Amino acid sequence: MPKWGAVVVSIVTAFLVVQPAFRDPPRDSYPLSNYPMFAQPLEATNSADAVIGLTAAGERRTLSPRRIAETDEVIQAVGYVYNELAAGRADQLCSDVARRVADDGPSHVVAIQVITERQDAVAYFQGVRDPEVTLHASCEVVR
Amino acid sequence: MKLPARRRSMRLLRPAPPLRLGLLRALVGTFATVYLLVRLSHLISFGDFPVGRFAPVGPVGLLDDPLAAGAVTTLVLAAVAVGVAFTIGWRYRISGPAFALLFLWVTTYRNSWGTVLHTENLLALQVLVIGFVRAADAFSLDARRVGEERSESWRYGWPIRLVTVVTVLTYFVGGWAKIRFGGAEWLFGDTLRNQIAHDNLRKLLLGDFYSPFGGWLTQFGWLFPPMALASAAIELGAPLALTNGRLGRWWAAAAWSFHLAIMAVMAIVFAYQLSFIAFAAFFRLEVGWERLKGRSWRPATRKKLPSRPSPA
Repeated sequence: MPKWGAVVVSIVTAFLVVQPAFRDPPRDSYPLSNYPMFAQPLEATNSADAVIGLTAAGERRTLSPRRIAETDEVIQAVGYVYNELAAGRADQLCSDVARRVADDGPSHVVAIQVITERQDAVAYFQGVRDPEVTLHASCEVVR
Repeated sequence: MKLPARRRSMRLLRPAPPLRLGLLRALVGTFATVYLLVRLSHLISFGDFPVGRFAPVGPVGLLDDPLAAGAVTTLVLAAVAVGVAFTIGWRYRISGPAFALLFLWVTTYRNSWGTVLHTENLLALQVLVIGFVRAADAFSLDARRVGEERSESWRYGWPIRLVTVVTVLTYFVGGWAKIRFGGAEWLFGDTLRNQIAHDNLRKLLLGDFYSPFGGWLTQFGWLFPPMALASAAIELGAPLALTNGRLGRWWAAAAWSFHLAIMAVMAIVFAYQLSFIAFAAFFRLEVGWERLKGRSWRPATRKKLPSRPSPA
């Protein structure tokens, strides 16, 4: 490659890396991204979606991302739950998770809930734990 | 000090020894290949994902439907195998571009299921740059086979320079997003504190690893504006790292510390950046290599020996 070729390739590459930052509307992609993570303004009180398990005694149990979304990645499980709720498929999500729990455990979980918890996250870490829970779907684990 | 225009324009094409680029290839290749190996079962698992969750991004957008499970497995295994060839510099004219494209494909495919992660972007971009240049003219099986030692040239310098450009620009873009979306509130307000608290609480709710330290820290509100400013300085100031070699190395150390802090307060591991290999292009790797081999990195100043008496 001649020297001018190296200069052109460098300029084009730099442009490609930078351009997602100035797109309107912004678009997150891969491998070129506008890296929007943690950039959005966020209040202390916020919502988090989750799928949880309940024992026969009514105690809450967290479920693995594999049970929730058939993945090892928590972030992907979070994204999956968010997308399913946004698409209005909470009941379907609940029964899918219940089926996986029935097949592969944990055996002490007898029911599944799809919830959104709203809580002041800063206050939570100072001992104030009063989440406002919205129940989207609830289903039994049929074994 | 302002550099003369000619010198500035030549900076991109500044010569470097082939060993520096060869070592960079070996380091980046080793990380990328080991990364694929560690994530092997995870990457292969996408072959069995429900079709309805397929949301292609980047080059995977060429597909309308997900690949068959066998094709996913084959591509992942091929990426690992070619990654080994890339790392040791074997048949690099083929293995270089092939690994760059395979690595890009495999990691893009993993991001094509509804959630785009941001931990592999820089690695994929650096592999792409290194894969398409003459990065195996030293410290490689190809170089050993040819047996010819090449001298320093702009051909080995500009790809290294381009890797540093790509690296700082990814940080700049990340910093710009915070200013664009978060504005002054991100820099001087509670946004960072809220982000850290919310991220940790969400992980706690999901039974994931979280940072109790980060949660504890959120009670000290005054800490977060300086942390946000430091973060913005590292990200938005990243292009300054290209202006001077020493500044580049300091910036690399600062960016590494930035990821260390993210790990400490949010339990988010940017493995490539934390390995420091992401910043290797800012350093004269051949110097370290020579030191590692126990040689002096500067050309030895030869003492003039007294001339021997000529035989009678």
